[in-house]
Amino acid sequence: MIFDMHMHIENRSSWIVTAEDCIRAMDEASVDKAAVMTLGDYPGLNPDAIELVTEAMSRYPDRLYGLARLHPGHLETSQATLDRAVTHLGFVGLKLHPVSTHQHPAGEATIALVRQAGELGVPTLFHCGDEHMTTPLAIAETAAACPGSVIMLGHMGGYFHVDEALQVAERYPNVVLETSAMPYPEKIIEAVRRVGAERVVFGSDGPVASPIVEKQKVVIAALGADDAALVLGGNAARMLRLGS
Amino acid sequence: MTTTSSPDAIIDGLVYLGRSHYGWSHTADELIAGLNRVHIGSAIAVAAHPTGADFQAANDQLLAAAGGHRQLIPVARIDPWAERPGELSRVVRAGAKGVFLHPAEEHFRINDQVRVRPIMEAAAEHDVPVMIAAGFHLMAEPLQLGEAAGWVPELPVVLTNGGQFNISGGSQFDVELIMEQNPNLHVHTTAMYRQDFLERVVTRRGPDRLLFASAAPLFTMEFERARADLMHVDATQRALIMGGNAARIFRLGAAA
Repeated sequence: MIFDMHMHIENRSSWIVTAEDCIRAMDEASVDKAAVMTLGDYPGLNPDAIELVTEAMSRYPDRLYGLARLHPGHLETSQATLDRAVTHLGFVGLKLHPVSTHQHPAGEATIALVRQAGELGVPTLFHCGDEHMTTPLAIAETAAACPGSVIMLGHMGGYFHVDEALQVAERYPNVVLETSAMPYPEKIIEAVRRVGAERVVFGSDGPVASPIVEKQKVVIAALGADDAALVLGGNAARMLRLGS
Repeated sequence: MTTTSSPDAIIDGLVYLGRSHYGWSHTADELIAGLNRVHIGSAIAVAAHPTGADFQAANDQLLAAAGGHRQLIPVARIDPWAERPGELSRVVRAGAKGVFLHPAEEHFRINDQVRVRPIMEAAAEHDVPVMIAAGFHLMAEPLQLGEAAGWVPELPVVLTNGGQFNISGGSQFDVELIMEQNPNLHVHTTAMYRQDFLERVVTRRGPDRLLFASAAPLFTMEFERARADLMHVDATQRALIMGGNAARIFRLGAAA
């Protein structure tokens, strides 16, 4: 089973992408299942975000799994939404993007939300790249403050912060590295060697990025059958409790 | 999707050669082995930023390597801070097919009127294109690159890595803007994770504005080849992207 941990649907931002776009890209790449989230945060940038993802999950119940992309600046609303999304709507995680929310990963609101995700038993996927408030060292503050929460570094540091992402993952056992968009297959090999295949997950940032291209990055990494199976889907199945 | 069938027609739009001040090296033999392994016919090569900043020696070494390997197409690396105003002319006369500028590694602002504009104008006078390492904050942001490209509209300018480095995708808007405003701008496929951006370059700006490049050894040749191969373009567009555009822009003649 191949699981893509990072895909998007959106109906309001500059990039409009549908659940059907995701499915088409997944089929092209022979990806079985994917985590989907909006490009805009709820509440605020996309007031339809939760309904949009819920509807996508209902249309493709065995293929799309929702992450609630929430805005820590609206903490009360976001906490209530996260609880409802996970306990009633079937969402499997939280997504945070500090570039769009302007909420620092070390901020009280972000920490409260990430802790809540941990208490609900779901992971948090952070956008983790080269921009302010998204670097691995910034998100390390969250990892330190929320030891009971699983934190995925989406893009595992982007173009110029991948080595720092590896260092942060070594330092904090609750940190998982997600492979999308960063362009170095050899860093996937290094990640597996340094933190273990159990803490590396495949993602594409599709469908605007290409799942078939992103999957090829893992193939080129030549991890070996057992490690590749974990990275490409086994870890996601365990972390998201698929099938349970 | 279709893949390009003839390796000889495939030109890697950028590879680095030599020992870099920044701690890596890439020999001609390693480069040729990589091209052969990934089935690429030839590559446009530039010198790594040399230890000691002796760009004249680095360009000479590159030219010598190209003289011994017909698969290598030399492009001169010019440092705007160097006190060698004739270096560009010298290296072009010696066989360099273009000029390469790296604002981040040589630490200059690409839209610096005093330091950079004369180089762009000299390249135009010599009728050779300019390639620019793009996407670096403060030094080579897309809008800065667009300004520099606008100084010499008749000069083909090629930007590395889609003209940007931005893992949130936001820089795409600036690159799309400068490509619309400057028909002389072209971009490499290297490391550009947004396949939709690369495909939009083809559909909106034309297939003659996009070039396959690996930027090896900074990026992985095999993966960058896969990134270009997996684009949703037709056979004619693919032929241009994978080598035809480089051959035209750098005037490679029979090498294409």
